Amino acid sequence: MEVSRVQANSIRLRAADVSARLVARAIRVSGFGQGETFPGRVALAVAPDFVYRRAEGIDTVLVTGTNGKTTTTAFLFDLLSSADGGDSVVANRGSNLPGGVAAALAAAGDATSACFEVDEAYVPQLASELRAKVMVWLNMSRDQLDRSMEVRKLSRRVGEAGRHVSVLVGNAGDPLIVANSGEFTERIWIVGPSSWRMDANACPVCGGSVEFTERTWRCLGCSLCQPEVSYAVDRAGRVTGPGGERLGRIRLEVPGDFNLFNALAASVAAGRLRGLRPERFFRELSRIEGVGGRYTEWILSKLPRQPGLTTFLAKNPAGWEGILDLLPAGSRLVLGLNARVADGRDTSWIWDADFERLSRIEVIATGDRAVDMAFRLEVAGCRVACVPDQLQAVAVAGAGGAAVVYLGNYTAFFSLIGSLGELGALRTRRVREPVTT
Amino acid sequence: MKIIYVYPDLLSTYGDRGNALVLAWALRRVGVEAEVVESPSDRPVPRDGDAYVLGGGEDGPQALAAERLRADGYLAEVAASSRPILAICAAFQILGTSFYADGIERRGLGLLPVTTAPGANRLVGEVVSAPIIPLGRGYLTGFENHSGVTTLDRGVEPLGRVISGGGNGVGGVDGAVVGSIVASYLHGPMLARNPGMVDLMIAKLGAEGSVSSALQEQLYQNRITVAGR
Repeated sequence: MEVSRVQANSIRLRAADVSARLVARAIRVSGFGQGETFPGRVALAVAPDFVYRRAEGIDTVLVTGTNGKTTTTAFLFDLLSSADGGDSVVANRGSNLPGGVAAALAAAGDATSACFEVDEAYVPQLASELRAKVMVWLNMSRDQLDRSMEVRKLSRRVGEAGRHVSVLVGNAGDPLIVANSGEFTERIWIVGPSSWRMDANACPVCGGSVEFTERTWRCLGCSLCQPEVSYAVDRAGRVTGPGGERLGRIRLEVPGDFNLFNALAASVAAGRLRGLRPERFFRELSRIEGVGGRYTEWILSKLPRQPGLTTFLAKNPAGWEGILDLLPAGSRLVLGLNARVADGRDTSWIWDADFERLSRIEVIATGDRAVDMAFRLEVAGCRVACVPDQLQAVAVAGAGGAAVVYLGNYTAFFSLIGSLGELGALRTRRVREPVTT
Repeated sequence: MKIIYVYPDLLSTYGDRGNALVLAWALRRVGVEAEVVESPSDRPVPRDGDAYVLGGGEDGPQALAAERLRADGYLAEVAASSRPILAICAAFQILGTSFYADGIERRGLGLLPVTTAPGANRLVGEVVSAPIIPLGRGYLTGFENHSGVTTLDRGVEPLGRVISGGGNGVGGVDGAVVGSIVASYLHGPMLARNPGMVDLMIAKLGAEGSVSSALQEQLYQNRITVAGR
C-alpha cells in the first residue's frame, strides 16, 4: 500500500511526539538530568519540522530580549491561564533554544495557547516556525559577547521576526528595538522605568548621538525618536493608557522597576491575544512569584541561627545594576560569578556594572571566578572576602544570623539553588512555575 | 591626577572602563590623589588629563568615535606631550592609520603606524603573551574578541609575543608600543588582570613601585595557571 506524503508526514509528527514524551518520561523516572530540552532535541531529530507542525492551531506569544524573558513568560503563562476559562496553556521555562520549545510543545497536550521565551539568536527562525501572533520585545543590551553577536547586529536580526509575526509589543524606550521594528505591521509601544542606556548612545540608524531625557529620547542626527506610547508604567506601578488616561495600578510580589515593565508587557500581550483590555489582568499579576528560585526567600534551617536568604539571578551589567538597586540594607551580600559557556567565557563585563555604589559594604565574592569578582569589588572600595565555594560563602555570610542576599549569574545561580538543600533551605514563598515537561 | 576615560558612550562595550578604575585605584595606593573623568563623545576631550584610556566598541560606534576624535584632534597633542594613552581593541584600530567598520575602510588618527584589515575569522578567547618590554612578570593575559587583523609598520614594537590566542592576527604578536601609547587587543580588563601593566602605566605617570594587591596577584596567577603556564 502506498502511503501518501501527507500521511507520511503525519506519521513522522506522531512518532516525534511520542518519542519526545517517552524520553521525557524516562528522564523523569530515572531522575537523570533536568529533562527540559533533551526530549525536544529528540523530537527535532525525528521530525525537523516538529515545531512548525506541532504549533498548528496554537495561539502563541513569543517573548524575547536580553533580560526578563523568563519572568515575563511566567507572567504571561498565568495571565493566559486565568483568562482562558480552563483551556490549557503551554510555556517553556528558561530553556529558550529550539530544543526547549520543542520539548514544551511535545508535552502540550491539547493546549490552544502558548507563550514561549526565545533566545534572541533564534527569534526569526522560531517566530516563523511557531507562527506567533504576538511578539514581546523587552530590551537589548550587552550580554555574552563572546558567544552572541554584537548587540546591534543581533537587534537587526531579531527585527527580521516582523516578516513572520504581525503584532509587536515593544519597549519604546529602547532605540535598538524601535530602529529595528519596521517589518511589524502593528506596533504597540510601551514604556516603563529603566536606567541602562549604555548600548544605545549611538543611533542604530545613522550613528549620531541619541539624546535621552527623563521621559523620552531622540537622535540628534536623523529622525529616529521615541514613538508614540500606548501604555506606560511608572515606578509606583501606575499605568496610563493611549490617551494618558489612568488604567489602574500593577502591584507585584516580585521586586524591581524592571519587573513592573515586564508585567505591563505581559498584560498588553495577553490582552492583544485574547481581545481584552490589559488592565483586566492587573489583579492577577499580584499573585505571581519568581521562577526557579529567582526573587525567592528561604530559611536556612541547618545553619545555627537559621538565617534568611534571598536569591537573585542576573546575567549581564544591565541585570546586575537593576538588582543592586534592590538590595535591602543590613543584609550580608554574596555575589556569585561563573564563566562557563552559558554565562559567556569572558568576565570583563563586571567592570561595566557600577559596584562603586556598594563601596564600604562587606561583600563575599564566590563562584568559579570568585577572584575576578573579589578584585572588582576591592577596586570599587568594598570590604571583600573571597570564598570560591558557593555553599560555604552563603554559610559564612549567614553565620551571625543576619539575613543573606545572594546574587549570581546564570550557572552560578542554578548550581547554588541546586545545592541549597544541604543548608536545609526551605522556601518561605510559594513559587508557581509553568508546567511543561 | 586625572585619568580621562574617553568616549564611554561609544567605546565601552567590553569592560575596558575597568582600566581607568584600576589605574586610579593603583595611583591612590601609592599616595597619589586620582580620579576618573568620563569624557562623552559630544564634548571636547579634556585638556587637563594626566592619562587617557580608550576601550573597545562595536563597528558603528567605532566609526563615529574615530570621526569625532579626528575632528577633536586633541589626542595627537596628548601623544606629542608624552602623556600616556592606553588603547584597547577598537581604540587600538582607531589610533592607527586605517581600519574597517561595517565593511567600509575608515581613516584612523594616524598616531600609531599600523593598519587594520578585516580578518577571515573572528578571534575570540583567552590570550597569553610574553611581554616584550620588561614588566617584572612573565606573561600578559586577557580575553580577545575581534575580527580585525592589525599589521604593524616595519620597526614598530609590539606589546607582547603571542603564546596562545590570536592577538593582532598576524606576525604572532599582540598590540603596539609607540612613544607614550600602549595598545592591545586584550580585554579582561587588561590592567585588572596584569599587575605588571599597572606598574608600567604608573611609571609612565612618574610614580613608583609595585602597587598590586594580594587579590590582583591571585587573579594574575589564576589566569596564567588556567592557560597552562
